Amino acid sequence: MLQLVQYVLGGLLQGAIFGLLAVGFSLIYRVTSAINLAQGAFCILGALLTGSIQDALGLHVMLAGVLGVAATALIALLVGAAIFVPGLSRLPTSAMFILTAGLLTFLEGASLVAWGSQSYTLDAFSGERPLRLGGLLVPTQGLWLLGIALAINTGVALVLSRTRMGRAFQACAENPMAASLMGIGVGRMQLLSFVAAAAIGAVAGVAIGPVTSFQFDTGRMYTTFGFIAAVIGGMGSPLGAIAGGLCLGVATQLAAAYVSSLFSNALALVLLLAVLLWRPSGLFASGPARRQDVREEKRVNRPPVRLGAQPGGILAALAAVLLLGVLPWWMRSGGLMSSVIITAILFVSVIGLDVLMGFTGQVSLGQAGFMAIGGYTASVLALQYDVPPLLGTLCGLVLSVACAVVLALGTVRLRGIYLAIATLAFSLLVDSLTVGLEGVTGGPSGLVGIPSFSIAGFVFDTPLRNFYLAAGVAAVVLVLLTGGMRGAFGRALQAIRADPLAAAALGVRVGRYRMAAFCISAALGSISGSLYAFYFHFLSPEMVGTQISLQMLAMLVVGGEGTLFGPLFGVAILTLLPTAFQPLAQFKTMGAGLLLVLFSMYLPSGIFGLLARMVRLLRPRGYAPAPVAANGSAP
Amino acid sequence: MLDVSGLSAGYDGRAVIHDLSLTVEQGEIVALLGANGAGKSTLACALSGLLPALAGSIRFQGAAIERASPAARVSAGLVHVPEGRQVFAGLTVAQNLELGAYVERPGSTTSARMETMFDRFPVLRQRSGSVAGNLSGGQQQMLAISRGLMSGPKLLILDEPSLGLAPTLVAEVFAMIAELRGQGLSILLSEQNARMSLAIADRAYVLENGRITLSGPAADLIRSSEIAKRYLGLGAPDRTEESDCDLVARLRAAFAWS
Repeated sequence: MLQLVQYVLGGLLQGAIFGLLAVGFSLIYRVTSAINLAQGAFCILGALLTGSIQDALGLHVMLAGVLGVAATALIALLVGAAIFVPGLSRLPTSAMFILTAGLLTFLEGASLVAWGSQSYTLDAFSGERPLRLGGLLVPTQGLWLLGIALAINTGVALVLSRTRMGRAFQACAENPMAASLMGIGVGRMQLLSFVAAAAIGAVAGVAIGPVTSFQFDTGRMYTTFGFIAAVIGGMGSPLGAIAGGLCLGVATQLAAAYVSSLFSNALALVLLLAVLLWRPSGLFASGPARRQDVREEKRVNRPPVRLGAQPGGILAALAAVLLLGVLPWWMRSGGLMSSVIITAILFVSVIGLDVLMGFTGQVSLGQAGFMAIGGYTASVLALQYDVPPLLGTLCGLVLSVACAVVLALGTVRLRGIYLAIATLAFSLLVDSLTVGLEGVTGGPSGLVGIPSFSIAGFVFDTPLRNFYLAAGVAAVVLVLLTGGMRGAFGRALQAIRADPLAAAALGVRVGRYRMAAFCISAALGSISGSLYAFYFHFLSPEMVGTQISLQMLAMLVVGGEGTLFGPLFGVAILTLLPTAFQPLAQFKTMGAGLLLVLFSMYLPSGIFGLLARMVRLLRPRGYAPAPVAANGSAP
Repeated sequence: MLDVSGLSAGYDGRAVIHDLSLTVEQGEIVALLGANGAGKSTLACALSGLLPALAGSIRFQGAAIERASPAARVSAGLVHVPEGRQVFAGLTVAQNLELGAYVERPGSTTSARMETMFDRFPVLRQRSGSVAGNLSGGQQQMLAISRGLMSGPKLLILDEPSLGLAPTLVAEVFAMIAELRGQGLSILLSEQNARMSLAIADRAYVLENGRITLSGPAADLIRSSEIAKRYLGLGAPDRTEESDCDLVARLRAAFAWS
């Protein structure tokens, strides 16, 4: 019994953390109706800055914390004014997701450059000695956490519900145009909410610092759990945030204590999906229920770039074949060959993401999860049961598609951010499984000795053979999808992207097509993951972890969404550049994040769009149809 | 009161209205007529600051405001009631009205003003606690106009107040606009419904493809064959002038306010 109480107590403290993380989401959501995935990065930034300030000045941790939070707020002010607020006025909600994912990656990368990859902890606010209450051990830091969480969440709730500013915040989220006609400085309000949320996040980071260790990329864990808590409690409600946080904390802590810590992550995902399905506005939502996915339709998605008819198509194909023939001989040796093979393998996965995002307009943050399923299934089958690679790859594919169907059934009536967050949670679940199921996956150190890919006795064991295998698969996928997307199937997907409601009215079975697109993307991810494992003869969790999901997002956006061929540029750049400039490897994450941010803001059609524009300019006369003017949020 | 000269504005740096000049005097209703896509809403947005002016000047009560933020223009007393009502759908009627008075102004309090609005539109009082998104189109238009009046404006820009309303409601809205002038408010009325607008307006401008093609006293325009052909849907100006001029009187009679 005492044990149980101890667990519940631990869960409550954990829950206070989640609640504190969640309120930042709620605050920004209440003002901008956007979800800021970078929220977790500000927690870590606050904690890291506090640690450094404390080291440099020798202050007490709380004093250093104040300075750290102030410094984080200052950084957030710059980031908000330069990126977040301008992004809000020009991007649709789903693109804001990508933009903030880019911000998250960028801030993590910057932290990596500044603080390295080791983990840190902070001093407890009032000593390490726990309080003894009866037979219970209560860490004093836990009491601080609970107090801070309650104070901040109640404070934010009061500001939102009682003050003139709170009402103005709400007006900005409801209808920014009408709000500015009321004399509300909408941009200023958005910036204020962003900075305030970042500061709250930094406070959370400093308060959590003594309890759990953190490093540059812990932010995405905070983002996920904070977001899940916010959804459970009711997005936009600060008191719901703390309630949702406490529920999540107790539930996961009990699951970890009585089942296993693996199960606790799974439980968090199941809780999230259950709430999304059962009460999309959250368990503790107050006021009128509102579905986030309905808002997606408010702003128009940009149509993807099309090159138009290609008179030189056959010539280009010939050139490509020639290039494929010559390329490997030219770079026979060295790391370049390996990079090119990796590019081809990753391209298969990213093109799958393109079908989902570029054509159906859904956001997936979990593509690497399917790579992991494909890779681990094929490897484990090959290593332990001697299953031939091709069959193993097929098994992985079937399993991935099965997972995709389950996820899609859960989220198929949900759009935009719901699928995005479900896939992010899925990816994190796969992360924890690949690390946790040590008996099967080899744990953090991974699987070694995976055989080469082979078909009917022909073994792909040299770089050259692997090159043709990867390039061949990529080319086949590209050709098949290009054909498929030009037909009725592709048109239906694009209709859904442009306007799901209108598509449904025209008889397109939106749910079914969305599911099909999701399955295609999962299948391609899975194939790519299997090839990855067979090429490296090795597979470890971080090779197919969540950061790879985010990187593939960057590759897609940089290359050009909805163009199928375009992602090749993105994959190539983000794979080859770090290889070509080895000393810059530590900037890779930061660079990927920065590219993602810049492209989604300024060049949403990606490199492919840029090239297409140049081709159009070079053409003697307007052969291709004029680009359709993107009608943004014209008031 | 409002003096616009040489104004160009549009989207993404591309002008939709070109070199446009117009004035609104104190206590005047000025109608802005034109077909769909003529640039009426663009002009309204440029005046309220939702769109930047690409060229030209906007003077309001003598002060240049073309660089001022929307908020500053509201504070100065220039209020724009946008097309399509744009109420805060998730907030209650009372909260919508409160937000209308976001810009604080000396004089009567927010609650006193709200009472005035409720007296003018009793249906809003009845529904003051319900969410604005659940109101009917006509009620939402009442709410949008009341919300615009909450900050005590000097010049009201009404963009298509009759759009999507039932014919009886259209008459009601126009009668109310005419009455607002009686209280000393200046009004710039952007409308597709030329007949009704000319009936209550003092002067009017006709906008075509982003340029003013015709302007003058409403009474003259209503007789012009051009207007009749294009905007009143008549083959020839053979309607008697009394019927149009009587319109206001009839509207007033039909919807007498206390």
